[in-house]
Amino acid sequence: MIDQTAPPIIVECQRQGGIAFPMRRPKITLDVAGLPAEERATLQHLVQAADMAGQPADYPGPGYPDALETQLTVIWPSHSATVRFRDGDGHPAPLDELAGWVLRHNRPEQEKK
Amino acid sequence: MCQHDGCPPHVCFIIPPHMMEHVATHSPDPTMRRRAMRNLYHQGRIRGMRESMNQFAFAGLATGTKRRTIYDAKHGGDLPGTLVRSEGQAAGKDVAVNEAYDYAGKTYDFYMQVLKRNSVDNKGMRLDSTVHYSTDYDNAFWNGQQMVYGDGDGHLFDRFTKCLDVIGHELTHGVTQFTAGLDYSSQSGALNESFSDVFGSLIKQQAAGDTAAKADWLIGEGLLIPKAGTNRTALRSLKAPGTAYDDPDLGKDPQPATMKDYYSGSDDNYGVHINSGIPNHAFYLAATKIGGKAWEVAGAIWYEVLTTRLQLWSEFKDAAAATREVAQKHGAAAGTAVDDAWKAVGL
Repeated sequence: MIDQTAPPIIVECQRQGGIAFPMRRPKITLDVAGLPAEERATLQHLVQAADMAGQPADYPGPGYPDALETQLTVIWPSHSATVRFRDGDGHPAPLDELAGWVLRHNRPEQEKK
Repeated sequence: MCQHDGCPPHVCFIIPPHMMEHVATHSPDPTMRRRAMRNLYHQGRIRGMRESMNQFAFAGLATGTKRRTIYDAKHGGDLPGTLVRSEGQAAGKDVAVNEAYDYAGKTYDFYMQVLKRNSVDNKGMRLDSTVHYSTDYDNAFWNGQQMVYGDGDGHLFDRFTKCLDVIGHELTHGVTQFTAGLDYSSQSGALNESFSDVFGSLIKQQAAGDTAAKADWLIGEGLLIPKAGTNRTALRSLKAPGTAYDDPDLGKDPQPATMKDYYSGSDDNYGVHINSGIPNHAFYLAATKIGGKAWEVAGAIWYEVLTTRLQLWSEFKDAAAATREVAQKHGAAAGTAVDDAWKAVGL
């Protein structure tokens, strides 16, 4: 049984696809140790809610045209988990919330919403 | 193993399609309708019965009447979200709501007035759209029954309701779903993308009254947030595939214009957004050679092919052969223009 309550050390998120497919979208990597305590706590809460260990590695998407694909990876000290999901494939909302937080977090302060 | 008639080995749907269709068309619960629609989609794919998507109209939808509903996801992921505007209601202050409403209307009007098609399914399907989907969401998509728009991240992408041709592109995926059903992979997927680009562009051209010679032939112009010293013109160019953007953050537009540069890798569902540049360019060449307003002849040819000649696994050569044949109905000049266009892209 994987212990998901331990603090993660790295969280990665990459999105690709969508109507603008070939455009390159950078992989965002967050080093958790470099975050302020409050943000570490928020991130840990989002990671636990996402239940990465309980997700399939790849959600079988229905193949909607222009669906955006997201790949999330969480690395703990002793293990890691990666989940890939797409728009409209039935994945749980906490995966989107974690991905959105990671993507937003990497942006310059003045650009965060 | 399932013993039901009509079910392929190892695959069985307990609820028959006619019951699922009833749920999809009559349930008052949007979640139930969505689930039923998804089940129909899968059943249709597995059984090779795309007619399961085509043979029913949607509940409560008067045929021949434009019906738009706009929902607000409020930056969440639940669809359709909260109803914020229905057909006939006045514009409000939310730009995304107004754009989704107005541009869905222009798309409906194009299909009805130009191609005599009654909405996406040709049975008066209500055009549902959800705006403010998720957070920092850089995309718009058609999920089989409605449009979904993100607000963009404000860094690379602006809001996805901004461009009429993007909305026309997405709703044309719905038209394809209800007609040719082009599978979203490899050449059939690239054709699926190309028809969406072609009609997205034509919808924009018709709204502006542009001739083929005057049109910009761009998809998503203005969607990318400009940055000094880089090219962020648009998502794609039918006139010059491969030139729509060139930017350190986004990379360079990889679309080929001809078969010589055909992409044969597995990314992007085997290149659906990449190789679509080839049939896109063929359409541009045909339309500009024919001249006048591109939707009147070239658009009519492509529409007839999409709705009557192509099918799930059609390839570029099938589209080329069918458009060459249909073009003959529009005169020798049109036939020559279409033939020359496909030859120019290597088909």
